[in-house]
Amino acid sequence: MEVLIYTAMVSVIMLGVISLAFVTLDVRGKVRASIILQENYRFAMNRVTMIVNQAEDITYPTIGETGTELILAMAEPALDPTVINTVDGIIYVQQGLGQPMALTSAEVDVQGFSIDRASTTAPMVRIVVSGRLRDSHSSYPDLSVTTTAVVRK
Amino acid sequence: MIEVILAVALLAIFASSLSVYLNNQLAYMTRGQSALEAIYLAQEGLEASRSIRDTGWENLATGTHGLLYDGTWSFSDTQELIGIFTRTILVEDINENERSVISWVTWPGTTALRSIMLATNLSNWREIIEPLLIGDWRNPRTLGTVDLGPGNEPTDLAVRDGLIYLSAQASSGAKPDFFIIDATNGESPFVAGQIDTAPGLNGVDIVGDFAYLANQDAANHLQVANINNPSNPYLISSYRLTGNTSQALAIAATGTVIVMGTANDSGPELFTVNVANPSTPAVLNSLEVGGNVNKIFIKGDKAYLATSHDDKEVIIVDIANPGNPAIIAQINLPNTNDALGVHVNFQDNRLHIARKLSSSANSPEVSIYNVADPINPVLLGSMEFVGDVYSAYGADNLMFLASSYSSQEFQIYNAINPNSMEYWAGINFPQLAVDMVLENNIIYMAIRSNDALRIITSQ
Repeated sequence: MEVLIYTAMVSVIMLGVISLAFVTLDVRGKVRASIILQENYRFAMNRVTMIVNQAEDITYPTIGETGTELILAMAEPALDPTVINTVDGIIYVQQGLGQPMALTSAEVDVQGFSIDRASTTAPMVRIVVSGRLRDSHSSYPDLSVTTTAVVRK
Repeated sequence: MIEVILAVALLAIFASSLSVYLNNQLAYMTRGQSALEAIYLAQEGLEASRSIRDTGWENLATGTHGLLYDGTWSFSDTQELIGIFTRTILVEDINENERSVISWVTWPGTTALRSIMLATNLSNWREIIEPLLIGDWRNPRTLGTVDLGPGNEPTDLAVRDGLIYLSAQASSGAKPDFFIIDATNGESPFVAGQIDTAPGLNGVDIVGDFAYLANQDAANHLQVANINNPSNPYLISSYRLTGNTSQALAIAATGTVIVMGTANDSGPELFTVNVANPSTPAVLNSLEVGGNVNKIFIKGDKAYLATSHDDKEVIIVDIANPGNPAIIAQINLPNTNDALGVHVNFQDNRLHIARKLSSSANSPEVSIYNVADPINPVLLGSMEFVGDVYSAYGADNLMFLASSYSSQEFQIYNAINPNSMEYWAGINFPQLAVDMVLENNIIYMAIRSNDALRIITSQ
């Protein structure tokens, strides 16, 4: 009888420990996903904003239009044109004839990259980026960030 | 048995601690994500303010604002709610050509309201540093003209990005008197949209999606038109300045405040009007001028009035607090000819004053004052002219005149030395020139004729 009671108690304790371990791993995974998303977004958004600030003009989207690709006219011929877009959920920037450079890591799946060109004569875009950790469970956090960048010529 | 109970208790303590720790981790994660979103919203607030500054220094109005995005950024009267975030923009004067902008984003945290503030200083560098003129202005040329048809006479104009907003008085109340002219191609301008406000307009100014109109109808002094779509402007409100029975003559807008002047009246002639909600304007306060307010020009928090008063042809009003405008200086020009136009060149703080013709000696029709210290305007020079001067406009070292002089209604002077202004060039128009605005090295000039708009540039 005592053996049965002990076995039951040990089973309960083991279940508790295993549940705790799962929850711990889940939270750790979510926190890690959030940190990776934040770091990627911070780097990509800062870089995109800086490139827009330094551009001469915005070629695409045209005034008042919305697109999923940003094409900038640059003063320096080697950097002209500069194209920012997403391929397979990764944000890339290609300047002139150079190779495309990834602004986000392969861990992040950028699912939304929207460029809204303002109706003003002064070139300006509103950028919305949304995404999540690649192949992550649906309970993992996603993140959407919006900002505006102005060509400062 | 005791060992088992101890083990379970220890496990419970461990599990509780771990649970608190995990909750904190999740809260930390949420906080981090919210903070990141808030940072970019705050950054966007600064960029939006920068773009508002780029549409015109006067649009970066001091005060507390929300933001509105409908293809362009503009300030709104109410805080902006974006999901859980609230964004507020605070604009304060540092000096007349520099303002501090604070973009403040708040959101509810688990225990308290959290916030992020980003700040920057924006300057009026385009108008201060950059030369406004290029090319050879000794040889001006007409790029294009617009004919509004018979019986229409322009009275005032405002210009933004190649679109000209023209007020007019028509020979009949049934004719249009507010026009939007698309001159983005200066060689072939065309009337994009028009309205009949009836009976006629004396002035126009624009801010954001709205045109503010000074109407000749003493029962509808202020009218507001939505100009979001240039081909389809429409009136959204008409407003009477209570207690005033004279027609509105002049109007100038800054941010969410309108400064309006009327013809001489038994009551006050100058009004500040809150147009934070353009559908329901409301008078903030008024001032007695004692004469016609023929023209108003706003620079920073000062309004410059051209009046018909014999002893104070120009009045400078502090509108930093629009609810309590205060006269800070007045200029008594020689003789009694009315002041018809005022313009301050942002580059050098020169106030250009245009006046009616006087046949008396020492009654200059054009004067230039230094208003770097608006409380103490200092005369730099003046000039006699051969006709009524409706507008004197300064840019770089030049001064452009719009006048009634029948041989050359438009004239250009080198005013580097205001004591000895040098004539450079002139153009003859079919009728007198009443007002002008310079944008991107192009002068847009309102002519009191069917041939209502002249677009002039340098060679």
